[in-house]
Order: sequence, then structure tokens, then C-alpha cells
Amino acid sequence: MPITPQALALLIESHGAVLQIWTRSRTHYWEDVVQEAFCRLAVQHPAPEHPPSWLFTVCKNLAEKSNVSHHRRIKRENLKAIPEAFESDPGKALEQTETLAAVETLKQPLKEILIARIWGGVSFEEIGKLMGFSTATAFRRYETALKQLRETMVLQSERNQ
Amino acid sequence: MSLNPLDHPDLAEVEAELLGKRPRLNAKAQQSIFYQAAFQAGKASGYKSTRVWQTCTVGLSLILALNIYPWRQHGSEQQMTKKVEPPDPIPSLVTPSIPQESLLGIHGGQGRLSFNRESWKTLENKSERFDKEMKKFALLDLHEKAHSLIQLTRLENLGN
Repeated sequence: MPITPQALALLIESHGAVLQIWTRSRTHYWEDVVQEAFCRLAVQHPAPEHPPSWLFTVCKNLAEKSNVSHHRRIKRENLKAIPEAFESDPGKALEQTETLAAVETLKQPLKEILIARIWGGVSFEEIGKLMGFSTATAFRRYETALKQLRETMVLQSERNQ
Repeated sequence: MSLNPLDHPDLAEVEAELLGKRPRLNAKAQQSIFYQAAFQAGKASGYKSTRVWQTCTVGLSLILALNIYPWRQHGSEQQMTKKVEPPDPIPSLVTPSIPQESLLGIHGGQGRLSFNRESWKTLENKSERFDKEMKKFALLDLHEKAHSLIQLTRLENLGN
């Protein structure tokens, strides 16, 4: 049975932005890739058991495909900017921006593991399969990412004070 | 949350902080993605149902064609021996109000013509007919009688 519209709407709300951030480091066409992934999920029959990890896998494959087909380099300067499509709560906008900027400072595999684990809700086992690591390696890298992020956030708060 | 719990409490704190700052798309972007996904889903389901109907139609057509084929073959042999009937004549716009048989004294009955052979008996002889005409003449007024006599005289003169 395909995914219900309610479940799809909830997934778009909870994982749309996360997937866009995760895919931005892989392709210039991250918006199209994420949209295509959700379109594929809507027509997937039967629906995947764990849609978030399925979406991450599809986004990864589509990003690689788009890079191969278009032969365009990733514009890193654009990746630093926060997309306009993200929700901007006036009270949390600054904190959100700082957090995202801190996450963006991480190296690509660490950043991807962190996003997939914390915001994507993907298990370490699935992250390992997705990125070609063992589960233990995925966990170790996740710990490293958190340590680096903590240092960056401490530096940011010191700078602000 | 994690299968492998973090040893360091500071890292758990960072993890919790990040959890509370999950980025979200704004309503417009969410609606756009949802619309596109719903459109694709509708298109896919429509395509599927169309394919099902196409398959059913082709299958039924084949069955029908196979059922009709022997009959048609037999029917074509029958048609070879059957005479071609001319098409119905175009009905004439003017239909005679009096049938010709009644004018000629001929009566049709059960597919063959018959003559009234006793009709000669009804004919009057000349003398009887002359008497009838004279009686009619006597009933006429004087002016008409005179006119009739003039006409008869002229005809007689012309005959001579």
C-alpha cells in the first residue's frame, strides 16, 4: 500500500528541510533532488518500512545522478547561505542560523552523519549502509562531529559575549 | 534516543540542543513539494488504471474476434450462393388515386387477374337510352330546349 497523504505531509514537514541541508553538500540541484525524492515516495508501492532512511538513500542516489548528468561543480559559496524556503521564526532565527552555520563548518561525512542521525532519525546501522561505513565507524564519526560542533558553538558564544 | 549511548554528558547536551533546533521548511515550500508529490501520485495511478483498461479492451476484442471469425467464414460462403436483391425502389411522389384495374373492369384476386364476363349484360340498348334522354329533355325549360335544338340542327347540317 502506498504512503498516505497525511504521512507524506508529516514527512515533508519534518524532513523536507533536513534533507535539503543534507543534499546541499552533494549537488547544486538539492531542491529538485529533494522534491523528486518525495515524488518517488508518493508513488512507491508498497511504501518503505522506514521512510526517512529511504528518503536519504534516494536523495543520495539522485544527487550523484544529477552531478553525473549535468557535469557542474558544486558552488560552495551558495551552500553556506541558508535557503529562503526554511521557516524563519523571528525569535529563533538567530539561534537557528548560528546552529546551521556551526553544522556547515563540519567536514562533509561528519556533517552528513550528524544531520542524518539527529534531524533525520536514521539509525547508525542505516547510516553505515547509506555511506558505506560499519555501524561502529558511523557512531565514532558521529561522536567526533558532536565534539567538533560543541567546540564551534562554544567559540561562537564567546565571540557573541 | 541512540542505540549507542554517548559517554560524555556535554555531547548529550549538544545532541539535545540540536534536536530542539530542527530546521523546517516554510509553509509555501511544504505545499509546493506536497503538490508535486500528489500530482505524481495521481499521474501514476491514472496511468496504471488506463493500462488496466487498455489490457481489458484488447483481451475482450481478441475474444470477440475469435468468436466471430468462424461465423464470418461460413457466412461468406452463404453469401456467394445468395442472389443479390435489388434495393427498394424509390417510392414515387404521385400515387394513382384510382387503380387501373377498376378503370379497365379488371379485378385482381389472389395473385391473378380476372375479367368480369357478365358486364355486357348491364349495357343498355340504343332505344332505351334514347327514351331516357328524351325524358330528361322534356324536363328542361324552353330556353334550354331551343338552344339544344339549334345545336342539333347545326350538327346535322355539318354531317350532311
